[in-house]
Amino acid sequence: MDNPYIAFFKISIKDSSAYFKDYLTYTIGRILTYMLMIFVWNIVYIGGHLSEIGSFSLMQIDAYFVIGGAIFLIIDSKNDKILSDDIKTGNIAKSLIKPVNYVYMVFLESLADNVLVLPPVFITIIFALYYLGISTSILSIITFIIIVLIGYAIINVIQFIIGSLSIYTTSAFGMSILLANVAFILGGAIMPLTFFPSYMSNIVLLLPFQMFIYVPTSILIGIIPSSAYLYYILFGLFWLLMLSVLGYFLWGHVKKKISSAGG
Amino acid sequence: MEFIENIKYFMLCQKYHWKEFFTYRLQGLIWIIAGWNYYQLLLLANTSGFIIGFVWYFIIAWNIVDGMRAGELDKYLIRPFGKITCILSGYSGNLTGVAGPIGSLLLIIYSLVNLKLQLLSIVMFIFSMLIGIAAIVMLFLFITVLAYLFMNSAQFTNSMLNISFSANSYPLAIYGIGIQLIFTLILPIGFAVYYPIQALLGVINPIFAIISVFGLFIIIAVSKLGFDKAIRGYSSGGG
Repeated sequence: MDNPYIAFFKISIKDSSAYFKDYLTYTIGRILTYMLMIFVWNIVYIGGHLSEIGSFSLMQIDAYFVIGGAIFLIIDSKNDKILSDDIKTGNIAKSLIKPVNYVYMVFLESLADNVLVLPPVFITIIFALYYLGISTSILSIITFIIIVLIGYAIINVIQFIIGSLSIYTTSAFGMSILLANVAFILGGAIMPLTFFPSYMSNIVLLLPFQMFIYVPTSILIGIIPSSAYLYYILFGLFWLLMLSVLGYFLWGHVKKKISSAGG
Repeated sequence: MEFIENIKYFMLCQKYHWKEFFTYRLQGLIWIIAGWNYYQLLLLANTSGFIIGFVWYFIIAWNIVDGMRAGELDKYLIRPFGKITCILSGYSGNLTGVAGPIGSLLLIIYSLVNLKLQLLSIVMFIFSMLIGIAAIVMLFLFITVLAYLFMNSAQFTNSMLNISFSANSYPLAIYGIGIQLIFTLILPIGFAVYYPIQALLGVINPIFAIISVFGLFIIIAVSKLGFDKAIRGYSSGGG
């Protein structure tokens, strides 16, 4: 018999891929929407006769947005929605009495969506590196993968915390939107974080959001030197640990507050 | 609890716009994008947000496509009103759905106050914005039904809306002639957002504002014809 978690993961992948055209249009739409930023920045560089802004050349900024657009597809999780819906509908009471760990199930269901987008992510990144002539090292690629995994884990934990908070706020919708926008800006999706005014970038570079897009992309295109790789890995792990501890205690508290229709 | 509700509404109000507001503020401190200053960009992004926000309110593609997939759309279509009225009333959003356009409207007013434009131009602009809402809602209703028939998908409409909103939040000129033509002829949001604002700001001859309104009426007519034809392809649960 299959391990229940593996079986659940397989079902979640089948469920997520049931409407393939939905998945395809979502993926293409999301990449295209993000890549529109390339036009904006090209105008800023060309219109302003600038060869470099914040140590980014025009070619690097193009690579930044193409690769960032691909990572943007992975750095996403629906933990908040799953948890919030379960709390709102009361399904969580049913799920908690099952002989499996509910938290793992939430993470696996969300992971299924992310696994499906991996092929276009790889293709886009390889295309960007090859087409834009960005030279990178094996060490940079390995560090890039580690940082993306840490970033992915961080967004999952943050969204799990937000989903858990819906026991107090009824719906996690508003907070999810807030998080999405904060992560979008402070993660470096609109512009590299070094473009921010220095008083802002000094603060932003202390937050975990930079692990989503800015740090992995900058590592791959050579903006962050290899001497700083270890610092960013430890920095990401530190935030992951802090957020996980917070999520752990919050979840313990939430479980005590849940009451089903049966009391 | 009321406090939490207020926070949720506030966040919803910001759903589409505070990110842009913040970004333009940052960019506006440093650069002028394609000759557009901060308040002009803010006006552009929020006009796009206002119109697309209403489309999101009226066209909840998931609900319409789910209704069609389940063959339950006929429960609305047999009512003694027009098909479009029935679908829009049956599947449009709730009160929270208008929070997005309200957020945009506030920022449009803020931009207009700072731009100090002529009253007549502003009245013309408001008129074109209202027709723009009707035209783009009609266009996306047609796209939703068409996407269902050819792809059985609601995501297509949502992706098109996201791309349209993002692209039209910046001056179309920055994308080059190809993309500008797409948003003028194929997905003609430019008639509702970019060209009326250019006329309002005096970048192009005001006659183009009238041509834009004319273009919007053509979009309404073509979308209505297309919708009528496409909806005939829908068969209900009973066949």
